[in-house]
Amino acid sequence: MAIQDSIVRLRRLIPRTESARPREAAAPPDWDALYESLLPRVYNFFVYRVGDIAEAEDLTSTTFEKAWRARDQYRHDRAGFSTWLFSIARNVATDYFRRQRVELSLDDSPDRPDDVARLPDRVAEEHDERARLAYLLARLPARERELLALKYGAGMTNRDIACQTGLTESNVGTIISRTVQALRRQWDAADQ
Amino acid sequence: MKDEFMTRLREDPRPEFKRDLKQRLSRAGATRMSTAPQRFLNGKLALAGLAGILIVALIVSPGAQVLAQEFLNLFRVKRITAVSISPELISQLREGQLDIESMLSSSVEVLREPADPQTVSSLAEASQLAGIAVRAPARVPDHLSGPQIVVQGEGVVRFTADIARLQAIVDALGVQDVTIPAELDGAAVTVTKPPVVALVYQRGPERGASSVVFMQARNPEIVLPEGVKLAELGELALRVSGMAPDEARRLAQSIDWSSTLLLPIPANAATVSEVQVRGVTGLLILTTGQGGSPVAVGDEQVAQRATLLWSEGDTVYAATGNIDQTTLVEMANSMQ
Repeated sequence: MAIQDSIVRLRRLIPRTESARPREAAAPPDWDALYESLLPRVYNFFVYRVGDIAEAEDLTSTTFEKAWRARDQYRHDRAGFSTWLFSIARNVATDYFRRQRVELSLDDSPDRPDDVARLPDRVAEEHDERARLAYLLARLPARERELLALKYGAGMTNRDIACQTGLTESNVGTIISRTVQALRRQWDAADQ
Repeated sequence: MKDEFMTRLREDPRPEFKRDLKQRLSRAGATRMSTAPQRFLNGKLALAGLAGILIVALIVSPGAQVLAQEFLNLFRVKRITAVSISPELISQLREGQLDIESMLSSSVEVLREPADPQTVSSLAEASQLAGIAVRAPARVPDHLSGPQIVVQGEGVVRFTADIARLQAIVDALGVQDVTIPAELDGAAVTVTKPPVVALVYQRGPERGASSVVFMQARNPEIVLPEGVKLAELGELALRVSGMAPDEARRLAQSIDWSSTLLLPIPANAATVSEVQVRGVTGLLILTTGQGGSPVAVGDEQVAQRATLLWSEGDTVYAATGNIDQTTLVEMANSMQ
């Protein structure tokens, strides 16, 4: 008797549970392609968000591991995969800052020891452009920094950011424009 | 808007980081990420340590995992121990690289087919049919209704070892230093599966599906051929499951193979812990994935399924469902 037959028969031994029900037909995501395309975006989101390469790697790992564990919950009909993934990434960032307690609010001094300690020495000298930008981003309020991270780190459009954050697209554009202009002035001032 | 300076921080992730993360994800789910999500618990009840050669056969086929799942109830279980299965083995199974079913098609024979499941109206009726004193949880969460009581009759399966086929499977799995003992050739293991009683609790008619199932059965009977060295077979099974030779040897020698059920758990697919259930040590397995009720993991809601296994006297129990572990253990402890 073929083993397949015996399997079918033995399956009857235990009643089917929810997990045994067939899934609705849907093309499974191409995980390889999604990984290749989204990993750099998520990684750079965290680079812009936290300003630290090692932390960005850790948070990127956390994001993908959470997404991978919860991949069965992703609903194709509700949101694009990147939207779903970045919602996880944003939560991971929130958890991170909650733990670290280093996120600057509007009332915080930008020169708190914690923040300065996170920056490389050359930041203070403002000779390195990467470090200089990281330094400027670290002084931003959380919301503005997150919007810039989504825009320039994750490479999202203002419309995507609006969907992600719940802000209107015009509001997103206004905040980003205003923030970038302010950073531009600081950037140029450092050049002089 | 002059914002070109804003791109200064952008960079490609380090190739090592990219590669390592992908490998970790692969170990957590599948070697190739493009593999469709798997239900890890489909095979969670697979493989009894008693019949190592059966493990060799059963572990290596996705379809056979279903068969193996049934074997959980077939061994005289006094202790249940979890062992981790190598990611490589899991990936081979998932990707269908091994056509084990066809390789073993002549080795497994159903001597007596279990009757179709029969719904009964009382625990007493189920007890009479199953030959055990059927117990039911006294404490049931308000959102669960039931139980529906289902009894599955006895079945008998015989597995006849063909060492050439088994060696081919071991080789195909890439386990280089394992040799199937020649004396096993033609050895037959007869397994009598006792009647199984399942108590099915549902979340509600609108869900249309069961959410928690309690199963119980008399310890099964195993008939092994003379000369079969259980520890040797167990070691073989551990090696095939991906364990290092020294570790497999050490563990094989420390296990009472006549009463220990080895439960293979894919690495990183689940968390396993021992819990006290009704005065004995049981095994609690938590898995995430499809079909589980959402639980908080950080800020995310992740599906989780809890499975509890234990043995009391001559009866083995299994409870599983989309339910938090505390509630499941409480239900089990309240069985009477």
